[in-house]
Amino acid sequence: MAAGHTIDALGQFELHSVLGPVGASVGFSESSMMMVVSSALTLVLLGVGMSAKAVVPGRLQALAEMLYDFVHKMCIEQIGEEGKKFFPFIFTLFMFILLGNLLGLLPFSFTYTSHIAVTFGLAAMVIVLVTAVALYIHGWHFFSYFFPAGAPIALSPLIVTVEIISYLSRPVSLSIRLFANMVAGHVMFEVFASFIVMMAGAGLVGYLGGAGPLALNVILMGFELLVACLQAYVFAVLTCIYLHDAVHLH
Amino acid sequence: MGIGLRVGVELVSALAVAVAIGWWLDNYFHTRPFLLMLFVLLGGAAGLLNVWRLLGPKPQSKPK
Repeated sequence: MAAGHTIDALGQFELHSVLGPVGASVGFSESSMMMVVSSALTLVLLGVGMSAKAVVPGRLQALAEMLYDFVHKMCIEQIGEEGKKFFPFIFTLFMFILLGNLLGLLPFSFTYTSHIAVTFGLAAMVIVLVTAVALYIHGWHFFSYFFPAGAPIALSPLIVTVEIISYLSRPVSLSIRLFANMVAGHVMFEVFASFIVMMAGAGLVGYLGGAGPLALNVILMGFELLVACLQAYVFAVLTCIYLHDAVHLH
Repeated sequence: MGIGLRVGVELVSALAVAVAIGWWLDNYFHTRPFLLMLFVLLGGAAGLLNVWRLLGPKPQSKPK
């Protein structure tokens, strides 16, 4: 909201408790609310969509099948045949982030993926899973991942340290990428929307001038729809690539 | 904005992790600031490694 001549672009990311005193007593915020909504929507989409079991799918069934096929294909292409085992995890992750990003674009909604706590939580889950899978499949041999074959042994302290830092930076880059994209988009919305209000305050000329930022916001909305889907895809596909590394060790 | 942002994120995240490790090790061994200095350099190297993995030639994937 534009209060006076300042633009409060970050106020939209503040958390408040919802559902009255009950929500307040357990710290149930908009963020948690939207997580519940998106999870419920996923279940409803799959449940209702697939209940028809038609040979020629209706719209909802086609959507559910397309999402399923898309993630399933991605798992097999990126990880290999073993990828089928990880499909439920990847699909859950993908749908959770996708719906979080998309629902966040609705007015009066909240984008939980715009909080680093949420995205880093997801990324940490991914990296713990990847490491656990690698240790489970390869045992101690997993640690050879940090030392490429054929490198001179004298350089090992340097290479191993750099490789370990690179490995540990994965969850950080994974979470920052999603979080930064979401925050940047919503800040831009807020800034341009504030321009509209400020312009409108300047009378008739302002109303005409306000059309500029309004048009920009409309274009930006289309762009943000793209970013929302793209970032969910990127998160899922990087998880697949990390899992591929874990399963095959290079 | 795609590729530029990705490169920036890779560089920054590697550096952030390295600084965190250096800071923690310094606290642990009471050697501030030497390990931090060392790990900043290593973090920069790891960031460049990340960028190289992102932009460099792709290895022939899935030999099977």
